[in-house]
Amino acid sequence: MIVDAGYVALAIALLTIGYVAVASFVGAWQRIPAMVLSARYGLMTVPVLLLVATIALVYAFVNHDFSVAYVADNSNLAMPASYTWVAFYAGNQGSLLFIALVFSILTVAAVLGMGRKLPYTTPYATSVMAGVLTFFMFVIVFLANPLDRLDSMPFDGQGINPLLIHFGMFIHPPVQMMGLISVAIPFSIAIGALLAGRGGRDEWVDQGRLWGMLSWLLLTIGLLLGSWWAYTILGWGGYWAWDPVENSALMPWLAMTAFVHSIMVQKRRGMFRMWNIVIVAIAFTLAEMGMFINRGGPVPSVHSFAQSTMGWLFLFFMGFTLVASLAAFAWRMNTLRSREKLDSWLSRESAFLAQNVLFLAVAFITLWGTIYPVFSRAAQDVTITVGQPFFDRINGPLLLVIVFLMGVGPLLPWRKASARNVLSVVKVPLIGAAVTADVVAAAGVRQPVAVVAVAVCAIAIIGIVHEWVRGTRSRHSKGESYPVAFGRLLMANRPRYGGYIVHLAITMLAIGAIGSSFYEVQRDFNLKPGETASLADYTLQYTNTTSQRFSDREEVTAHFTVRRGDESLGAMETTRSFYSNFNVSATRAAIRSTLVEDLYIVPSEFGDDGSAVIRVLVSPLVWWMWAAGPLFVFGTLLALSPRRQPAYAAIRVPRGSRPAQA
Amino acid sequence: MLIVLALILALVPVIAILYPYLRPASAQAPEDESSTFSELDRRWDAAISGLKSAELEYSIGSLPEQDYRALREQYLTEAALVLKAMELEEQQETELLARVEREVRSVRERFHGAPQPRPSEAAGE
Repeated sequence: MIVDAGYVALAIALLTIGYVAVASFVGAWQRIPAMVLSARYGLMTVPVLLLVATIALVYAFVNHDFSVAYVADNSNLAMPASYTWVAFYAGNQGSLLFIALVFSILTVAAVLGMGRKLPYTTPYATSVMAGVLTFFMFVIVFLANPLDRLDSMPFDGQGINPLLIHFGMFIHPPVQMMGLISVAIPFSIAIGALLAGRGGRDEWVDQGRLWGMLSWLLLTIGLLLGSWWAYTILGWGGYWAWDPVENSALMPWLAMTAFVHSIMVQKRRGMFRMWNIVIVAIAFTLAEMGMFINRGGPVPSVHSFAQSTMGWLFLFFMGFTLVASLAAFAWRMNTLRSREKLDSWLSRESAFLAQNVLFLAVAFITLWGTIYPVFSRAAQDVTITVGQPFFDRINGPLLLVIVFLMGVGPLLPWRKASARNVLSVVKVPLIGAAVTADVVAAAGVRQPVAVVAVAVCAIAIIGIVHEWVRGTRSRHSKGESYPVAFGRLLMANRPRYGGYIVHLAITMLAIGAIGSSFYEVQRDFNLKPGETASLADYTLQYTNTTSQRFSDREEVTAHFTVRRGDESLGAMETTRSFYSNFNVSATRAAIRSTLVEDLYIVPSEFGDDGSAVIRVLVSPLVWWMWAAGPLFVFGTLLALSPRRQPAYAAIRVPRGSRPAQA
Repeated sequence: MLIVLALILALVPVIAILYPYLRPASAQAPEDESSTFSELDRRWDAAISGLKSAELEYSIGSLPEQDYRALREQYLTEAALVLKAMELEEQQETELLARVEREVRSVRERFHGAPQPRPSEAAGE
């Protein structure tokens, strides 16, 4: 009965959210406050209804109710209870319900947060968010209901996809899905402001920035965790392969990165008003494209996990939202003129603009490479897949220029910088970069591209550290101790220094990518027990293999003892599991990670005579990529943390105040 | 039992949606977020942020004195203009309210005759 109650709750949620979408718009348009409020109250009930449906599904999983088709497809009696959470979103129907639930909660939070600040914009934004949610609810109720029953109940379920049995799966898919759908919130705020005729004023900017940055953070964490999952479980030794599913998460991230920068220019200078509306619409379109590719789009991918035949419905919805937002933009375009113009091409806002253009260029190149197989099939009847070399060759240099601008841009002042000023702020980072290039070249880095890339990263790092050092010294000279001076410096300008911390994290990512892309070494070995293999400074001795049979899989583990030069590094083991139900093998690599490099061992094949074919990789600097994750979170939260009002504000005359009557 | 449960589930949004229609006093037309004052308020914040940023950059040696002075003058001018505009808006609003009050008083006098002094005024307080 609980499952049936969940079923009913889904239907009621669809009707309610449909009403919210229409009533909020009509109420705002016709200026009927009761209708606007009714829509808002209705919206508040939707997360409750979706929570009832979610509880019903979880209840079915926990009780092994295989009469529910989704439960039978994504779990079995052998599945550990802790994986119920993963099974919930392991398939298409459950992931859609998860997205709807999360989005409804985010929507309520956004509406509550901006209701008083943006009373005119909020009803329109609510209508847009409710419209997006209505689409998802329609798909869930009519095409992908996770609570649909089977005609006859099987004795056991099929089980969860083995590739999802990994710690990272507890966080990566939900965060990734939250990231993609959360782009709808800054998009809705922007379109809401546009529809309300307030797009040309800058009231929506604070809320747009807040939700834009939260969305960006979710996308970032999702991408990082996805890379980590691929690195540790897919067993090919890499973390990024420009696969369509990876690209579908990267593209909205690139557009949102551009947005969170350009929105700052609108906040500070009243500029880029049209650009910001366009860029957030592009970001949402790319997020929808990601969902389309994930759900059975026409592009082949090695690891889309929620395949279905409804991808085209998502494509249609993407087209609809794009056309609707373009129409709203065209309708209100005359209200979107910037308050000011660029004072100079040598300014922080110019650097932001250049960076924006480059981010979009990388996003569109990635899009083109991702959907190229579709065009090649249509034009030549041959599916041509664009591989890693294409993306590396085209996107690599552009990303390097972005890192350069990331290093130099924040050092420039707003409005206008003189040539002398530019020289004075970039002098130290440039000298530092030249020294770094010499050092890495002397250390044996020979590839010119790698040397240039490291030097560009050095500009970004030295620029930030140099400013921190000068700022801390300046405060120290006024009597503060160094730690206090540094802490207060960070706290005094949180958006700026939070952004710097995020930039440091980006540089760490870049350093990891440079090291592992240019200097990774790998070799395959066929070893018998007792034999040794050497790669770089490492020597591995293959000890033996152990096998273990579980109800759902057969697991083979290869054991090694590892030395580096004369130093013993102890034992390492790598596992390969075969899931007969799915006819799928999953590997668990043995990874020894240090600040300098990763030693990575993964099994390819086991022979009957006890021999093992293994792949060994030594990847420099990969650790830095994963270490960047916490910095991303810290920097973003610091940048978003509320600030105290400046002292100057005390002299402002609050609205509504009157001089004292004599 | 399921029907009862379904009715309870349906009642939640129905009550929420109908409440503002049944109690229209709970819904009031919002004040416009795009008032001139709010625009001036944002421009004030932007000018102050710009000034703080320039001061920070100057104090840590990122901005030469000449550039700092030029930027400072721009931001201070903008802040002063915004303050002036705020005062003007406030003054216009006050004058408008005073004018309305005068008009109302004159209309009242036309209907009811000259106003009677209040007891406190009559006592010479």
